[in-house]
Amino acid sequence: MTTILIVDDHVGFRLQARSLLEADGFIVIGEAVDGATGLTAARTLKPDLVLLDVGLPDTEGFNVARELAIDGPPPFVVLTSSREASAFGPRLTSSGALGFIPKDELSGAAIRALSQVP
Amino acid sequence: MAKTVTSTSDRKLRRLTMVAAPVLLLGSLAYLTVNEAPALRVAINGIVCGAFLATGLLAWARRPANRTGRVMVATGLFLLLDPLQAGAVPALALVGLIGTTVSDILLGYLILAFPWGSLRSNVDRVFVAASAVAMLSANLAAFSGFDPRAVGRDYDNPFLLIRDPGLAQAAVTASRLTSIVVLIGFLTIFAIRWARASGPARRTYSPVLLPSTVLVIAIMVNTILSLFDGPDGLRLAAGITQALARAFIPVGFLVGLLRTRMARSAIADLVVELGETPAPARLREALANALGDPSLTVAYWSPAVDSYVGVDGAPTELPLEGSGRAVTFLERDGQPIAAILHDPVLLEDPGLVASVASAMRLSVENERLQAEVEAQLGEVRESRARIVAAGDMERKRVERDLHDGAQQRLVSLTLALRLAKLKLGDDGDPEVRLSLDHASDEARSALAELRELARGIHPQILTEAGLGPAIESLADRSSVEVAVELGTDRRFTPAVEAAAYFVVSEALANVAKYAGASRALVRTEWLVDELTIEIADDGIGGAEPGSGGGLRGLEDRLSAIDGRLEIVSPTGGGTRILAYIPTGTPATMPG
Repeated sequence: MTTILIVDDHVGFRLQARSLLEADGFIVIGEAVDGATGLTAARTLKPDLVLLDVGLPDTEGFNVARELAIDGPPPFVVLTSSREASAFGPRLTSSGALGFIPKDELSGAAIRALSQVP
Repeated sequence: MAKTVTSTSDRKLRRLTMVAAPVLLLGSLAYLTVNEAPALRVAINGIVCGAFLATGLLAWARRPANRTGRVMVATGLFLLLDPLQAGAVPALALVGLIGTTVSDILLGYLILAFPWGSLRSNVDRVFVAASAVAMLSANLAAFSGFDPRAVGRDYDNPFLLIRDPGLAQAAVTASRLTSIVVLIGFLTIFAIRWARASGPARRTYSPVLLPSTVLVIAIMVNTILSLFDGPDGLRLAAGITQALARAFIPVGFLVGLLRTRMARSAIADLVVELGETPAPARLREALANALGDPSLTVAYWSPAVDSYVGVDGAPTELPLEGSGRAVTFLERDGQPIAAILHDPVLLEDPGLVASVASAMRLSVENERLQAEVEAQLGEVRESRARIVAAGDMERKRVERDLHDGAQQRLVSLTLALRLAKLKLGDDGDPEVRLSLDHASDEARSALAELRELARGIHPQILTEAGLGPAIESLADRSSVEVAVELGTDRRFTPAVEAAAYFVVSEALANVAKYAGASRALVRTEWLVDELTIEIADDGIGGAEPGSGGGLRGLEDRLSAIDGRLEIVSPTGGGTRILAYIPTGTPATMPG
């Protein structure tokens, strides 16, 4: 089963995402509330995927994605935000992330379509 | 200083004189002719009297406040009595002698009174009065010794008092000596006046003082020649010189008058020149030219040092009274502005310095008002820019509030619905399933509408990624095919980026709504310190900046940051909108 780390400062979203993804067959192996703890968690827990919010309290999701990309895959990073993709323009593609899913369109199917994980 | 008096009676008197003078002149010349005077004498008399009367009337009309004109006319009128001396009627000859003497005295008065129109010093007054008494009594004494029969004439002099020929000759000699003394007095006064005068003063005096000196010397030569029975030819030459010089004096007065008028028109030029608010050094030059005083200087009042300062800012001492310099002060509301240091002779034309002072006061006042308006304009510009910036901040805040509030709740709702559907599973109640789908769709369209609204309020992508990506995202969403050519990927200040973004946004909205265009182009270019945004379409054209609220609003937004909008939209020829935005030093952060 595919393991996933959720990095988001909104506790409500983390809970909903966890329920949704677990119901869809993912294993949520951790949650982080900001960029720094997210980075540490990703390096220690080594998840297959990181669901990474763009707007974090300490940094932007793009920066975290860039750091993780330097480490080399996996994990694959999927960026998310309650804004739509067009609000970020070319920064999404240059961040090294696998892709972007607006929060309201989050589903196991959407993640699988992006990452081709089982 | 003489007051301006153009009373009706003065005007009536002048008109009467204008009618009477030619008649009297003709009468006077006729009397000379009847008494068989030589034609040369008739001509000279005509020229001299005519010159005094004509120029006197002109001066009287132009400067009624100055006595010069009236005294010139009087001088000419008294001189008309001169031919009476040539006749054989002793009573008339006496009148002629008195008239000629009075005319001479008036002429002396005129010369010394020039250019003020009245005598200025007590020395002058005493001298003129003493000359008048001396000349009149000496001439009358000589007349009372004149026996026509002694010179072969066929009539008696009823006023003959001195019957002794020796005494009579002594009276004539005394009269001539008196003349010489008086003439030397005049020459001395002329010399002193000329020696004391500064450049501009000499310029004023010269047209009158020059012919006057010639006249006085000619009379003196003539009188001396009569004393020693000089040769007739020499006496004739001196007589003609004397007459010509006498005729030139009124011309001199006229030239003096015209010079004053020329000075007045120089002030008109000055007003025009000062209208262009010249630099202080240029101002001094302009004032010096207008007043004909190269020595003129200007001192400005400096409230900071509580003293007058020169153009170079160094404190300037104002000349004391009697130092040979005059000061004209310029004040506004009782506050000193400046002081003009000039030749005291300029005060002789009371209006002149005052006009120059007014012109300069006007200029200084203009400059002050202009500076005030500029300052206010600057404040208005700044506050307009602040208002626009505050508006942008407020839009950003509203967008953020929407994002953090309603948008998050709708996202959460959508996710909850999706989870519920997931939990329901494929075997769940199809009706519940359907209504969950329905609710989910509603929530998602609500979210889409909210995002659209938020983007209209403030485009997040502009803050996130800068102008280029923001323009590309606008182009993507447009219903018309839009090509984008980005000439720069620099980041600019939020105000510049917002203005540029809204220009493109509004222009593309117009393209879609009104232009009937099939294609559009958005181009950006950044050169040195100006960002140019061009939006062109192939539509129907005919867009007007004043008509649509959108374009008008863009113009306002652009001018708040000193930018400008250009719209080229010929009917049928597409629309081209150009926005020029000064960027100053850009935040050199690649986009």
